[in-house]
Amino acid sequence: MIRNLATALAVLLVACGLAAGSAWWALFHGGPQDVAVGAWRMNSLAGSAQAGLYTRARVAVTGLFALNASETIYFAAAQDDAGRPLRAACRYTLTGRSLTARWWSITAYADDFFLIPNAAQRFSYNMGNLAFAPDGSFTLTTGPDPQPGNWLPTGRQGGRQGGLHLLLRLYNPAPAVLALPQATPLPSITPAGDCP
Amino acid sequence: MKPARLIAITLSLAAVLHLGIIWLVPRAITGIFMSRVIAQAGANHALTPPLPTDTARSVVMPSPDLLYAVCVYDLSAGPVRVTAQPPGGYWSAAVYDRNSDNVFTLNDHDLAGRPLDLILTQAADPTLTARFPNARQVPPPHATGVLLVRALVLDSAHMQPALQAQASVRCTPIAPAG
Repeated sequence: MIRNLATALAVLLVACGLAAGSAWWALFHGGPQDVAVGAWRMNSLAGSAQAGLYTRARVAVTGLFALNASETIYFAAAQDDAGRPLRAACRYTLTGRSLTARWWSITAYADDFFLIPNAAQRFSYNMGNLAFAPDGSFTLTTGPDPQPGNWLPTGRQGGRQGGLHLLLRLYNPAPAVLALPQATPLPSITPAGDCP
Repeated sequence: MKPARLIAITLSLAAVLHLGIIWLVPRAITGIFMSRVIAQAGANHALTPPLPTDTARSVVMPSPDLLYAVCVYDLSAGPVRVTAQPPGGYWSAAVYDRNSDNVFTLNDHDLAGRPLDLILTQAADPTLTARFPNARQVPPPHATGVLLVRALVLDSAHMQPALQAQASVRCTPIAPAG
């Protein structure tokens, strides 16, 4: 009797551990992302009532109250163009051109998916305050220390290994972007200089 | 019990629990958010937080370019009317189900200069059409959820109109016709 109870308890504990661990992995490291453009990833069903179980849960954890794609498309980057994880302590250069949406922005978030404290109180750039080159291109530098031009501060949260998430929002995207998001030209993300 | 059977039972139980957690997460997170808003403003009442900064902790990945207004709706006692006056720039009102799904969205282009006038109701009601002829009826899937209004603040010049638009958001339970 006692042996059976102990076995049942062990089964329950192991099952709970496996369930919690696999759910955590699915929420923070897995999850369906059906569109990839360079370092950027998106899920076309984010926010939608048609979203599946995993998409809905992942969006709730990493971007609660997302709008559906017809209103807004969200491209997220947690890696650079070479697939290396973004780190807040490093400098990165984003290079691109204006995007075809009613308005768009690029925002930096810490590992906890909240805005990053910084003395400049600069948390994002949008199409209205980003400085463009005469040819229409832009260069944006992310990093903990002030940089000339468009600089998006990333602080030093989490030390050398602290992660960084970039989110590109396209509000009222152009019909071509909505129809074929994977063909949207998005900014490149490359390391700028050595990383501590 | 044979080890193979024990392993099969453990894995099956883990799979069921895993799916339960994944199902529960969006409902629990939305529920916690709704509880916090209700604690601050009450149900069916607009809350108007400041422009998000690094100190904002109510929702992950807030946009620092958007001024939000939020209303937790509860239709169990009857329909709720939502009115607002959009500013000149981008503005939207989005209805979310209690599981976090975005079930309805209307933006300033859709309104074409008209003020927002929505009635959240559990079922379309012709008597409401007669009482509020300019209001659009929206039936969310469940009686509770969240209405989120976003007003774009591209730069400091957009701040004052966005603040006025935010302050204009009203969520009001509709009293029965007397």
